[in-house]
Amino acid sequence: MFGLKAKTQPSFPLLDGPLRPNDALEDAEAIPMTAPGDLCVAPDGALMVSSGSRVLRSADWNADGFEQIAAFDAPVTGLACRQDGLLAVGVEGSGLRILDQDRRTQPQLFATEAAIGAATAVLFTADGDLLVADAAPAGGVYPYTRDLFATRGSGKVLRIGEDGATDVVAADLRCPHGLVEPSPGEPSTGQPNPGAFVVSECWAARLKPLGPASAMGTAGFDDLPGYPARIHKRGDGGYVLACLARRDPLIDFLLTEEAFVARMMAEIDQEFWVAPRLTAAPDYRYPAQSGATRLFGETKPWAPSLSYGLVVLLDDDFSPVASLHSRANGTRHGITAVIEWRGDIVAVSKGSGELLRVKQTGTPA
Amino acid sequence: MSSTDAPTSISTRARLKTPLAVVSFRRVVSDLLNRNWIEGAIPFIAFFILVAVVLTTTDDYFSLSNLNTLTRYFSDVALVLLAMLLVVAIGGIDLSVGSNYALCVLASLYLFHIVELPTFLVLPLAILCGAAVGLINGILTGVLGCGALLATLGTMITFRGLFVICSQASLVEISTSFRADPVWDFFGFDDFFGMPFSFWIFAAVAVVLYLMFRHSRFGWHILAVGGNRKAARHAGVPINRVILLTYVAAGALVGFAGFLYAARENSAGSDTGVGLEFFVLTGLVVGLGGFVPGRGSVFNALIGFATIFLLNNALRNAGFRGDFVQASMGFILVAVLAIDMKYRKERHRLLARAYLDPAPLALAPVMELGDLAPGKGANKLAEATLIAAGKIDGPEDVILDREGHLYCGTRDGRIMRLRAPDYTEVETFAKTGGRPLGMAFDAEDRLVVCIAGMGLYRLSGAGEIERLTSQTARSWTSLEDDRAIRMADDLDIAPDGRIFFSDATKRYEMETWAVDLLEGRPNGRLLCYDPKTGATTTVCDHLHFPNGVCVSHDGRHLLVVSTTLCSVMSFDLDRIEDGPREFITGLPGYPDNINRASDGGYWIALAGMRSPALDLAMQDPALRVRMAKRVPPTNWLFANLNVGGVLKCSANGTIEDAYWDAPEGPLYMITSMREHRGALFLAGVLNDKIGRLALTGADPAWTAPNSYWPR
Repeated sequence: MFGLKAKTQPSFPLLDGPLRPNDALEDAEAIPMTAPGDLCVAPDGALMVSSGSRVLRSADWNADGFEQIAAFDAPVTGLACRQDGLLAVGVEGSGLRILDQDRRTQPQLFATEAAIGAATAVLFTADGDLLVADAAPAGGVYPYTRDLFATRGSGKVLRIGEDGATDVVAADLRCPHGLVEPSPGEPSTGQPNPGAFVVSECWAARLKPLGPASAMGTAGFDDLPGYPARIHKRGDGGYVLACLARRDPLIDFLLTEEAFVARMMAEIDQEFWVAPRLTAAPDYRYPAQSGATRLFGETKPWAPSLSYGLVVLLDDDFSPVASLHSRANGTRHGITAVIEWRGDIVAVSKGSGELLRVKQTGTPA
Repeated sequence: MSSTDAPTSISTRARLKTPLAVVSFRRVVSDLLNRNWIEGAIPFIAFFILVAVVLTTTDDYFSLSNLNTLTRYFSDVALVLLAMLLVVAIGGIDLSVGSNYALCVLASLYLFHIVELPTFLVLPLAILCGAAVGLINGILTGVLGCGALLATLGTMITFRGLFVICSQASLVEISTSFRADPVWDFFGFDDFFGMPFSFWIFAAVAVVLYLMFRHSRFGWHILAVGGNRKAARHAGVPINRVILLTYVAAGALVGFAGFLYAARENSAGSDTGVGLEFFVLTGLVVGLGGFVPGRGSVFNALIGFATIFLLNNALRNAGFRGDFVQASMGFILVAVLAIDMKYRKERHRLLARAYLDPAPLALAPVMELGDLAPGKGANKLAEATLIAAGKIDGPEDVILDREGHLYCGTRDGRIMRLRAPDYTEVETFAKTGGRPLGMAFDAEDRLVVCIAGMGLYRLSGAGEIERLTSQTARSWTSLEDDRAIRMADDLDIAPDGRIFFSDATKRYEMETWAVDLLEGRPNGRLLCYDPKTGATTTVCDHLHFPNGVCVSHDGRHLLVVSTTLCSVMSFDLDRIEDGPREFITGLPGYPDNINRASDGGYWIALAGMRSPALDLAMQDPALRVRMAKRVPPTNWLFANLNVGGVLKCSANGTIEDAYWDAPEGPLYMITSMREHRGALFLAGVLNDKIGRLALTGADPAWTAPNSYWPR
């Protein structure tokens, strides 16, 4: 009355349509793994996964089949493998390591002079360069939540030539966490688009097209319902996207509360911030939401939760076509990476410390 | 009594200040909006503005003599307004009041001047005449079920015609009559205590109608039929009869008004009563803010009527032309109505937005728990056995009698009994109709229960329920009527029989208690019921969600838990008016009930845990207001109720031990616990089971009833 009406709130993205919740991740086959991080597939078809500061590989889906191919002195932040077997590994705090297929370090390749804090995504482009997403040039604790509350992020994307020539292709990103080159000749453009790529800007909850010309349409890829991490192409067209957590109205609200957030970041350990988290494991000091209280001892799957497991399958236009979930009552939260491997979807659940496999035939439409 | 003496240090701890009143703009606004009388605020304000304007522009308008004249004209039309209020309240309308009025004027004049009946016969006959017209209206609408608008439109035209025919025959004769009668003139001209006699008649009728709507069966039936005819019929209201009688009563009132007019004017014209129905209807619409069936607000209707009566009179008095008066009145009426409609629609929204009234609250930092923190040591509650799993819904408190039988309340309002020793059979001991929370046994082993939404109740051994109290004295500093005990939460009984109990919040219900926590204001109070006198007194007002209550082992102190402040305070029972002292502060979670332990210490239930983020948000009331506005309630930042436990403190309040369940364990939100013969029984308000934990090192013979009332 008399202008006292509440201002209209921006709509909050719901999990509906292709994103309707299911238990696909909860029902997935799993291999326990210590601190899993990123995934990639070697040219010979083996699966590579980072586990803490190590890189493992296995030729088949077998908990005992993983052999260590490299170990570093800091956690591995990102992985990528070129068609000839050249392996690029992001190492926290010390940038990039390049290994050839005989697992020998090749310091002369892609030897950039730029300092890289956390190469959360690495991508060999079709034209032979290396794209590196640096989510935290100044360091910090994964998942670099500080940038969630910042209007201008600190993350950037570098393009490194094999000779070490380095371009900053994008800066001020809020935790760039995934890189993919759109398929050439995809329906929306009709022709190959060399140099174009898409970065998943985690804390901005969007997929951002970058490069010489927009690789994707302009609409629909902001305002994702989750915080996107790694994105990879699927064999039969389209993409598969991992999400660290689901977006939450409380957190979206706090994004507008600068004073409170500033105090929170200054006075409270990052672990206890009101922020998306990777694991469902409770600590009694974690912030809680009123709807999350158990009734008769049971957590409702639809309860609000700051952690969530979400994998989204996208079509060639980056529109969601299907999704895999682990809901509030599940544990397989904090999906940091997902990739298609031998026709199946393989994902990393940082929350439960597991490698998950979902058969594509079983993917809910 | 236990032999352990509470250390004197309890009595020398720091005093806690409780505010004398909650001072808050939001609180005043929401309390005002919450009052029923505020509904009529807009017509009321309009009336006073009008009075003020007239006062400043016209000299001597409100002089006694002018008031006398005004009320003389006001009274009989106001009676017609009340008649209209009656039929509108029942969901109808009476367009024939003007014709009926004219007819009754004519009947009165005819009977007085031509038939020359005595006045005390003319009056009842005039009323009868009006009632007869009302009867016809009532038969048409109530019995035959014609639409009120069309039926009374028909009678309006019919009786206007009848009036014209009859008046042509007799008006000349009436005007030439010189009959005078003291009683007749008394009704028409005389004053009584400075006001016209007719005014007192009108005032009496208004009071009778007011009382009828509030206190009589007939009045309630009218409102029921007007509010929802179908529901009234299902409830057994004889709606046809009520409608018929209402029209008859309305007609009779019009008859009375006609008689008063006749006595005052001693004549009638062809235009008598023309347009009267629209005049009173506008008055009614302004007063009630539209046609509102099912509401008999006599006062509001009269205020509305007084507004337009005064407006009409003042404008004409100021020398404006009649058609200009009409036009400007119409404009002002529409404006008042528009504002009022908008206000009525938005009032509840405004109230909802103003109701949540957070205050800054800096909690004492969490005490150093060391190895007692959850997840640090062994999960001791994981060893508890579960009782009645899935058979009880929400036991907030649990208590055991001398024989070891266990009692607990449930969400559906029952008090269940589980018989010793195996506690497998769950039987209904009593049905309360509210939400049973805290319990205690008195000296005669009767169960005394706090029931949220009802008050303090006592159960006999057979489970018969008896109310002890549901009200306390109203506090002087609150706009809101806070007599009713809104959320009786926990109690304990002093050695002299006085029952101390907490009313956790005066502003929220059992379902919305969480909002009280977010508000962080001292909305609760500690009450005392004395069975000797039957009196209920407020011991200490303005406490932050007072919850568990426990009389100390020596019977000299009262421990009271504040859930919002995460603290326990103590009162000296001999000097209870001195107010609370600090007992424990900086608890790691939100404490609920507190009960005696066998070793002279106390058990404290933690319903949930504090988080640094919420503690910070509690310091920022504006943040919580915005959160409440913009975030769905299910996503509000809140206490972590998924972890809870039991703390054990010594007689002087030092935390000695802690009991937690596994992270996803079944005993998570502990709201109460009782020690009994070496075992601890645990209850949770959101759980469907009771835990039973064997205690090591506890006195295996100790029972609470024996600790309170030794036999």
